Amino acid sequence: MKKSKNSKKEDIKEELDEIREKEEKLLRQISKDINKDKIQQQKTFKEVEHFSFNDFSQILIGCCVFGLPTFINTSFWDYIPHMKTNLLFYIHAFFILAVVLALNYEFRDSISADPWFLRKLVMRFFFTYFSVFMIIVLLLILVNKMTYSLTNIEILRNYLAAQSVGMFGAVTFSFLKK
Amino acid sequence: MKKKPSKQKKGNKKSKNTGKIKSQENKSSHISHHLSTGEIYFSKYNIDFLVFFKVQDFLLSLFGSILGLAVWLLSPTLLGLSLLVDLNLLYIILLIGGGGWFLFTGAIAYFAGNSKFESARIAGRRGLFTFSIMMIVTIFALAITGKIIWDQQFYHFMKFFVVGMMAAAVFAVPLDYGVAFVKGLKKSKRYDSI
Repeated sequence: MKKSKNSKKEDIKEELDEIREKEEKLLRQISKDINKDKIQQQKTFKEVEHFSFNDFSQILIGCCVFGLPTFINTSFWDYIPHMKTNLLFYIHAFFILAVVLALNYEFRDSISADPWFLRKLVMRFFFTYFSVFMIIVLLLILVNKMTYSLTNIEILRNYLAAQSVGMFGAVTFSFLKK
Repeated sequence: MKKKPSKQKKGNKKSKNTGKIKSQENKSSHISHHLSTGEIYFSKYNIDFLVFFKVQDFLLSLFGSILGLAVWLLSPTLLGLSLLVDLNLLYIILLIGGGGWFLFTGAIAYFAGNSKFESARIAGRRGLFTFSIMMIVTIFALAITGKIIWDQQFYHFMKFFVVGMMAAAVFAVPLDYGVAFVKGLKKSKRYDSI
């Protein structure tokens, strides 16, 4: 008799456990649905925040794929002396704006001015810009466009032109990959 | 210790992640939590001064850079002597100094319980901010004092720039990292006493 009672109790306990599990699952599902937007937002924030080695390698490849053919081409360097420094600077500024916009749409679909996100986006842009800067300096040294004999203004002009192409390449490659 | 029944182990897949975080939490004795950004790092000891770059750090590195450059630019003997050094030697000194500091801060982050990649990331990210501020301030100071001009050879620019960066680093790095470290230490002691 006792045995049968015990087995009944165990059965009830098991059933109760199963019900609890189902209940928990349902509650999780409900909270998931409610917090779906919030979770998506947090996921986006984490993606923007974490600049990994993978991102750097993508920038490196993008920069080389789009930049190298341009930098090896002599007509590109022949054309730069005919351009005004101011114009080169404006083109550079325009590319910076375009890259910030592209980075924004890489992580979210809207363009709302969320201060937390904007702060992270600026930091992300800073990391991207600095990564491209390092690669571009190396490439400019390789193609003899950053030598000690050149003047500061010539170096700046070469840098502005090359950095714009490099940034364009870095962002385009990550878009193509997606 | 009694083990939990197997049924509970099945659980939801999501619990794996929370379990990982909980195990990390148990192993670490310090949690670095940035209130405004929401970043959370678990470590064996307080490395807040490495993982976060706050406004105070920005101001201190800015002040340190200005102070270092002022001392260097305003003393003719120091300026003259520093410019006599060969540029290649200056590169080597800068590389050893920067690399050594990166390795040192990376080791601090590594012994706090982070992986090798994560420690390199933390040390690199923290150093990058200070480096950028020093770089901008140095270029700005050299341009204001007329040490660099557009039609000057790039060689001279590089010499001034590298020596200027070193002069800025003498005050900026200890001030920035040191004050942040001491402040973090005091903060954690205050929490311990509570």
